[in-house]
Formats: sequence, structure tokens, C-alpha cells
Amino acid sequence: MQDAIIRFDHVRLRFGPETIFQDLSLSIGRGEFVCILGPSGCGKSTALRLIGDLLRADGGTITVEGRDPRETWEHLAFVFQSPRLAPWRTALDNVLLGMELRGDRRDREQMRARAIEALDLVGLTSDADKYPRMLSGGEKQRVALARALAVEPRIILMDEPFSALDPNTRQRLRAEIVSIWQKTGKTIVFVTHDVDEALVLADRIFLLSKKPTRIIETVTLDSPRPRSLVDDAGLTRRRQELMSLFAKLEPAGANA
Amino acid sequence: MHRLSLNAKRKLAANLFVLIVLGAWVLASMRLPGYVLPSPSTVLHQTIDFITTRKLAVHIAASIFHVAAALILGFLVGTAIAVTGHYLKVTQLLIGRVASFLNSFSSIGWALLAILWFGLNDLAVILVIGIIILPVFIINMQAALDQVDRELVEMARSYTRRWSRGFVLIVLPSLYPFMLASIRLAFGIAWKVALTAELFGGNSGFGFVINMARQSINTPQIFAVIALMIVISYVADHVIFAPLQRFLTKHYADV
Repeated sequence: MQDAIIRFDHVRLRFGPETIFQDLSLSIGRGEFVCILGPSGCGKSTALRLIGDLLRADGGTITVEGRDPRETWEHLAFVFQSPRLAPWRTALDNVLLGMELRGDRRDREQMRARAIEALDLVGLTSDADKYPRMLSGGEKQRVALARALAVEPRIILMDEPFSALDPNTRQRLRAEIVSIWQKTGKTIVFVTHDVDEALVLADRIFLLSKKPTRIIETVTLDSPRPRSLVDDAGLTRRRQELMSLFAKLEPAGANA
Repeated sequence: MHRLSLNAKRKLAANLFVLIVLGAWVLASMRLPGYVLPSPSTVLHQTIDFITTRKLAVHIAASIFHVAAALILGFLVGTAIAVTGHYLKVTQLLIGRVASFLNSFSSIGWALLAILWFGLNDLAVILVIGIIILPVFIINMQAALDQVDRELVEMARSYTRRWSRGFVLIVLPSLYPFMLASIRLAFGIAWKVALTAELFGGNSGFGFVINMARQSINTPQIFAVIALMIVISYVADHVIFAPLQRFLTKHYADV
């Protein structure tokens, strides 16, 4: 594996009486596309928040680029489950918002050029002047992704970003995110509870247990992209393995 | 037969009502002495006089100044208190008590105290109006801050650790529609309070004019002041506040 950009060593976390992580250890390589897969409420999003310094662990060590997350949050960008766009700003201005929040010191024209470049990467240049209310769910999520890309992070943390979208849009955006990842070489940590999504996207999948959460399976995938679950025998086998493991964790259905 | 739409019927009903009231007023004024109920035409002449005579027009400007200054004061202080209470949780109970106290004390009480403390002047009037509308801003801005989208705030935090950047770029714009709604509400209250405050503690403005008119039994002038206050309130609400609120709600609320 490439040199680790994110490491969890024996991480512990409690929310009141509830233990979220008892002894969580994992390592993510630079430039890797990792999916964190697990049942609802197992702490997948919490793991992202720990990496992004939105939460602090109670014990153990978390390092990002070998340093404490408090020192590295500026190298990361989040894409959340909901797009979280400012309704009073156009698509372009929402992309600029990320840079403004980060305190980008470039002049306005340079920032604008960077924002347009990011919108171009997600295929939304022609919608730059539209307000969020004029965009579809998929387009809004693309703007959120452009906002993350515009701050030029080394790591993108994606928290079930496609879960609220219709199946067709979801499929299209999965292909786009893989293409963006291949173009930019960023490290992507992608949280999902959809086995198929994880199989299509990831280099490695961490399958998490229910709380107190631990890794019950790490799956390494080397199938070439773009992947299809229909005609890839290796992926189909992996899918069956993961589905049977997942069914034990979330009996209601792993691909809801 | 031509049928009227519901909207046309509504307008017709409202206009008919105004005509009936005006008719009743004309009839009543013919039977009552002028110092009890002046006729609509007398009031109209008095109102035009008010606007065109510099001596009286100054009082319109004074009242507008009192209300505007009190709105700015109440808005700034009230918003600052609400923001303090929101982010400095230890002050919440204290602020709640202050707002309750201010809400329960009458404008006449404040007006009398203001005369004792500051004398008969603009400052006393502005402070009385400001204190009366202060709880409107405190309570509304507290509620507005509670309604700021937490997900947007968390998004901002993921991009910056500077509280001020998140506040200026996310929290403040989220508050704009609520700010205007509070100003609009406070404006209505401020007009009513201005009259009382000027009547007791002012040396200019509509309240002062009403007081003078009362002493000289100039009833048409009292009616003219009432008419002007209604016109100013209506114009401000329909020409300034309502369109501005529609714009802010459209652009700043997640609709």
C-alpha cells in the first residue's frame, strides 16, 4: 500500500453512555479511493468528522499526513449527504464560498477562474448563475463537490453524498466522481451504506460492524474502472460475500 | 351577465366600506360641532396645510427621525444582545429576564422616566421608543438565530476555524429575512409609541403637535396627524418593507 495519509490507531470514542468506537484502527493510503461501508448509525460519518477535526476522539491516535487533525483540516474538504448550499448564492458564488470561508488570499478574478474550473470539472459551467432552488438534487450535489474541489484539498471526505438522489443520477455521479478522482489524484474517503456503490467506486472497502464499531472486513478491489457489477465475475463474488456479511448487520436490506 | 372575479368582489367590498365610512363621517360632521368631529374636507385641507407649511412639515421630519433613530438603536442593541445570548449560553437566562422586564413596562412609564432623566428633547423620545421596541428585536433575533441551518453552519466549520468568517458569510445572511421582519414589526409599534413619547417628553413631532392641538382644541389638526401617520405607515409598509421582505425571503430563505 502507498504511504498512509490517514491513520487511526486504537481510536476510542463515546457519546454519553454509548460507545461508538472501542478500538478502531485503520490506515488509508495517499491517492487511494476508500469506501467506509457499514449499517446505519454505526459511526461511519463520525469517522469522517474525526478525520476532519469536527470531532475529537476520547483515546487512541488519529493522524492525517502524520500530524494531528487539528493541524491538517485545511488540507481536507467535506461533501456532505445534503449539498448544504447557501440559498442566497448562485452556483458559482457557492463554489466561491468555500474559498472565502477558507480565507483564500488570491484576488477575486483568480478565485472566480478557479471556481469556474471546478464547476467545469463537475459539468456545471452553464449553470453557474443559477440559484440552488433552480438546480436539481444531482446538480446541487455537483456544486457541493465543486466547492470542495475549488479549495484544492489533498483529501476529500464524502459522507453518503449520493444517497438522497434518484438511481439514475446516483449512477451518473458515481462515474463522474471516479473520473474526477482519476484526473486529480486526490485521496477520497467515501462513506456509504450501499454495497454496490462501494464496489463500483473503491480501491478498498472497510466494512464496519454495529456499535461498538470495529472493522469486520477489509476488501481490496483491483478491477479496472469503469466497473460493472453485471459482467465482472470477481466483483459479483465480492458482492455476494459483502451482502451476506452486511445482511447480518442490517437485515432490512443492504442496498436500500 | 358579466360576473365579477373573487378578487374584484373583494376590492369592491373594501372600497364600498370606505365610501360608507366616509359618507357616515360627512353626515355626522354636519350634525356635530367642528371641534368634536371636523368634516373630511376640513381634515384634508388641514393635512395639505401640514405638508406644505414648513413650520408643520418639520414635525413630520422630526417624527420620522425619532422612529428611524429608535429603530436603528433598537435593532443594533437588540441584535447584539440576541447574538450574545446565542453564543454565550451563560447569559441566556439573564437576557430572558431583561426581555420580559422590558416587555412588561409601559411606554408612558418610560416616557415619564425619560423626561426626569433627560428632559424634554429628542434623546428622551428616541430612548423611549428604542426601549419599547428592544424586546421585539431581542426575542425575534434569538428565534432567528435558533433557526439558522445547523448543517450550513457545520459546512462552514469544515471550511474554516475562524468563527467570524462563518458568522459573516453564513449566519448573518441567514438572518436577513428575520431582521427585516423584526424591523417591520418594530416599525408599526414605534409609530404608536412615538406619539406617546412625543406627547409626554418631546418638543417636536406628531405627539407634540397633537398636544398643542389638544390645548387649543384644534380637532382638525389632530385628525390631520392621524391621517398622515396612517399614510406614512401604509407607504413604508407597502412600498419599502413588503417588497423588500419578498425579495429577502426569495433569496435568503431555503425555498
